[in-house]
Amino acid sequence: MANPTPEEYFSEYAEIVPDFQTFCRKLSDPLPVHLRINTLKATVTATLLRLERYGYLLVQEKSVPMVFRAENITQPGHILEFSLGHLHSQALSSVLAVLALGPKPVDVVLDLCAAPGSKTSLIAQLMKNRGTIVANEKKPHRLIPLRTNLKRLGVANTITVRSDGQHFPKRFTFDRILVDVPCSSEGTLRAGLNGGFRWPSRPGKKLPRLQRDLLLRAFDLLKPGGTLVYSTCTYNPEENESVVQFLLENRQATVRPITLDLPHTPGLDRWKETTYDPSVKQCWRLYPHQLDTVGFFLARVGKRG
Amino acid sequence: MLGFLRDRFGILQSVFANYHLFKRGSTVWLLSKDERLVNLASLQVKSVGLPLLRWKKTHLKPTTAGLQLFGVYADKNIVSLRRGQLQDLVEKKEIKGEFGISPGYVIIVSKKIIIGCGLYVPGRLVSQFPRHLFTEQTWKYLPEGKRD
Repeated sequence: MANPTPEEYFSEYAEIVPDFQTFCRKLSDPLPVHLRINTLKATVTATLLRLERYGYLLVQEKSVPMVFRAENITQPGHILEFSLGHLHSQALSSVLAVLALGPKPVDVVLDLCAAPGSKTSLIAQLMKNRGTIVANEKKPHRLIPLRTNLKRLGVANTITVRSDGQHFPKRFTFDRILVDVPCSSEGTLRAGLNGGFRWPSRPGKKLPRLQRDLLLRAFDLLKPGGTLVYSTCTYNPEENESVVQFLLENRQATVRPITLDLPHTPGLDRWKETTYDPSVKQCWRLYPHQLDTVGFFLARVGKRG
Repeated sequence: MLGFLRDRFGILQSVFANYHLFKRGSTVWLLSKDERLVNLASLQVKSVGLPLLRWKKTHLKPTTAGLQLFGVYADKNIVSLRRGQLQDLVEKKEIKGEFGISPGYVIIVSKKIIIGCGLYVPGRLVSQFPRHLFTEQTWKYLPEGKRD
């Protein structure tokens, strides 16, 4: 059977994605390369100067001071400054998940599904290597890239632990928690450099169940008055709004606004037979034709103090 | 342990005032100081913080990761290399030369960027970088004419 077109693959979302045809056309553009300058090891000014001297063209992303769109770099992993940990290649939407979390140097933070460590290391950067991050990863083989990235990026405030996220011990509570769950990764679907698509597999029922369990456990680990961010890189409402709705129905959680100044679409108010709590509209849907990066979903959740 | 970094590189102990040091096996790890850590002790911990030093049989050796972060506070035993020299050091594992420093571990710098740890023995400088720090592509990716 021939591969579907983006229109066919995402036809189910035609009603919920604004300007659906533009969205589908945008998927034919390769994903832009975004570079984050790691201020734990380098300064923005000096790094930019050096890269510009090499002939690289970097454009600052609006409202995100340490992130630059690289116009003529296709393999950032080969840049010397990358090896030295001055730079990290990270999707803009992945950066936004951490900005929505808003970690402070005094916090104890849990990153429940941490590998490969891009978000963990940005949390460390915003905390100026102070406070404590617990970076959890269930799979042993994914602990290796997590630790490698943290070391390369000079992260010195992080403990890596191996635990099943949905059974993470309840003996501890955290000021902030990032729950970037395993998902169907529909948001990563963009044409590759050779013009072809890599189609993600459709999720079974297991994935939303796992996502609900992870979010519930994370919420139970949050201090009263604390902040949690739930994120996915998929458009599927069953992995996004439905999971947040499940939390609202089962815990004393509140969805809070995300106070960043970037293009986005509000969370859905309904999907198929399900109507969501009105507060779910405060979640963010990130579509590539609105913000040129990986498609994402962000929910900022608070626990009443 | 911090006395070694002070004596060899001039890095003051006060630089590490906000960190705990942990020894596990032959590695000394550095972790930001946080009194709340005691609550986390019973987790299945896989690593803590950043490797700062390694115990060898007779001496301490600084890690490249540690020097990249704290080498900025050093004021001695620093070797500055041109990009071409650095590439030679990476590819051949050592380069010949006198660098006007005492034998022992050194901080290697190129174009004002801290690269990592080297070992100076009279007449030659030996790379102590992790093997994966640079690839062949690293040098090819530097645009022509920008390597020195």
